Amino acid sequence: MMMDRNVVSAVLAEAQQIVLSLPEVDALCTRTARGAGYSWGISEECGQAMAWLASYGFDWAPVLLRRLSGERGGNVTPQPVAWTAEGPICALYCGSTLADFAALPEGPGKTGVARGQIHDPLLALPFVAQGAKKLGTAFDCYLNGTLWAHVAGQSVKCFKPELNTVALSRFELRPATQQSHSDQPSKANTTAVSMGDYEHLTKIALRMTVPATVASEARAGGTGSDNE
Amino acid sequence: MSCAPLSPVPEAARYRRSPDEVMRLDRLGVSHPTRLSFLRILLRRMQQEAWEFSRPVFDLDPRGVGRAVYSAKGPDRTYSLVAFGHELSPDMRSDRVIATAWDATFCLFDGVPADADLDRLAANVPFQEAGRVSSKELTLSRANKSVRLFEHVVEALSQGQQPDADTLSATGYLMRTTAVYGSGKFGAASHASISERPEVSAPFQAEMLTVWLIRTFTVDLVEHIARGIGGAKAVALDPALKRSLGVGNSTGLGMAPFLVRHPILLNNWMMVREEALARVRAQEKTGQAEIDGFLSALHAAQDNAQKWQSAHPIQVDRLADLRSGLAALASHVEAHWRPTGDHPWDALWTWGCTNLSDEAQEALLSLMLEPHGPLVDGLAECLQADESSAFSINGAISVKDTMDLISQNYSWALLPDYDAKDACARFWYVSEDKLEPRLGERFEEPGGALELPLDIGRRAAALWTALQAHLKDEPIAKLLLADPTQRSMVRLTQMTASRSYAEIRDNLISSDLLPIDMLRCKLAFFGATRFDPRSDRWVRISLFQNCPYPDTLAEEGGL
Repeated sequence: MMMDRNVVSAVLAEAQQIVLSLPEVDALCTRTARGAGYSWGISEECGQAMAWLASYGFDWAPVLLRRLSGERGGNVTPQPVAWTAEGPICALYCGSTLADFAALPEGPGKTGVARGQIHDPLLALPFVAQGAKKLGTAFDCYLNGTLWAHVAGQSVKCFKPELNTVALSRFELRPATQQSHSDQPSKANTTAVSMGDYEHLTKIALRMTVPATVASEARAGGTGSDNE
Repeated sequence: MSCAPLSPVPEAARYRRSPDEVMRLDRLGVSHPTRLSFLRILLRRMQQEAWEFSRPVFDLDPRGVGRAVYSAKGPDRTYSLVAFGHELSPDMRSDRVIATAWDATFCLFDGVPADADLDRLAANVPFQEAGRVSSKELTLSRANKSVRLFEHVVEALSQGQQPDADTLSATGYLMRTTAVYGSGKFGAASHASISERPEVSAPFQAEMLTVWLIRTFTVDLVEHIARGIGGAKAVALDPALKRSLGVGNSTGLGMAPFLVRHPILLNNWMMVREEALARVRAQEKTGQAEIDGFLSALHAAQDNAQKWQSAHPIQVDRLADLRSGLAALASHVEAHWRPTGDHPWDALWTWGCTNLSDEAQEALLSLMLEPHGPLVDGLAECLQADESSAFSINGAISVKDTMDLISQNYSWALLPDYDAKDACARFWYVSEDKLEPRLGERFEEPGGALELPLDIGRRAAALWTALQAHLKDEPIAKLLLADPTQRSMVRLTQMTASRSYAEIRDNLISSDLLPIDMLRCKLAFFGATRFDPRSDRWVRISLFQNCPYPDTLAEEGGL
């Protein structure tokens, strides 16, 4: 809900950041993506994807906010080895399409896939993990030719964390040549988000809500007094 | 469901009811609690594991303002209800989600809270949605007094007398919760983060424990205030009267979409119930203990049906059906049922299907499960689900296979003409003020463009139409590439592929939709009794009525 700092607890009113549970991340990001105009299906996947990033400790909120307010990007055409598109594409679309095509000839399973420029590639990582899980394999992710991350179905290892916030980059997946890393830290159940980012996300989410009317308020409750 | 191959009654499969019969709203809307309801599962576990209970903090002033802690210690962990009593002016008392203050607020703490924890919680829990809890808390809740009854009980006890039993029975609870938030809400621990713990792995166990301990708090509170007024003259509530009290719950549309948004859980809950019924029907013979247990449950159900009151026209009719149905059942059992015959329970069920209303049939289901604990209680292990494992879409599934899935599980959805006004008269949305689900009138209110994807039938029909434009051997990934708006429905067809009880098989945006049917279904799984609609989308119920308290749990029979 949009936070009215006049009516929240003093602790929350003074907070600089808010600690969210993963279900809260999921619910908030689903609504935020929907509020930003994505279809319900992609919005649901955005919610799950951000919870996945949060569970592995990624600073997902600023990247998502940039994505939701930026260029949506063009359509992609999956093809074996190299996917084509008219210009850069959105990481949420690219990621979900990668996961959809994971087991198909156009997917990255056998030879990997190079996909030109994508916006906010961090947001594609959860979908790469989905694809890896479906195939029982792992992928190495490259940004502009630099090995960035190793992603398996249940783990992720980031070699260049400074690339996590890259806004636009050439993106490439290759089947991993080495075993998955076993030094994965345990997954988190919560994530800290700056109050500014949280309020920005909730503001976008409010676009998918409907203001109450006298009629809707009246219909939502019961008849009779609660003070009996 | 994964438990099916392990069934000790493999022949039960042929006694299972069809999803086309049980997943209709008019059938779900007459659901009754059973021994597999979540509160019964909790009570059984705590009794079997000999949990210990204590009240380490009870710091309330004579008005009932202050804090209290109730701890429940299991074999591996302790959970504590932290309760805050407040003074509330009558004009602030509302059961609606728009309320900002309550008579009491609560959370379930993971462990035994230290003073610093209590101070942190005191600064947040009374604010409810406008505060924050942490991963050390499992639930967040609040309750309002049932004012007239609460005052009557205080007055009687303070004068050294017992309250009037009929007055107590008419309401059935001293306080009613107006929300019990769990699983990660407002910063609380997510269910996934604690699902490895056996005691909370079944659905809503933390929520049920919260409400059960709140029940004790409500009685302690009323006795405490009575003592403050009456001093030495005051008496405690008579144990039999105390037992008859539950905790009320007042709830609205907020819980209805859960059943649609959690199809795997719904499937498991329904499958467990239907498998339990099928196992009982599949019994070739029965014993005297089972017959006695059934008769005892039938008498209790008849008594409950007499005490169950509602002024809502739909429920008035259903209660009449229930009372007459139970009476007919009792007569049949006494005069005609042959428990020594072949497959006696199936014979009884078959008689019920012919001679009882839907309402009484569902009551019969519950009664037939009651004496068969060893046969069905193990099914509780199958209620839970990791829904995330089925979330990802398999893009390799063909257009034809997707059409087959729709034919298999969504043929009901292809029947309505969704362009007809009546078939799309409603829309579900999220309210801006409280982010709560609401139901709007599409042709009378604004907001239809912001509709939630709960119009499953219409979406299935739209996907069916979209599929016609693609080659049958084409992977569904290509359709999704061309039309991303089909993603959520394609996902549903895949999630429900092997889960035939996953979907409510009715049009949820139809003009004749009764949301209370969805509420009753979910509340019955909780174990709710005395379902009392206050409109077509708002209801009061009772939990834990006639159940033991912490100090009597160990000696309770028949859990």
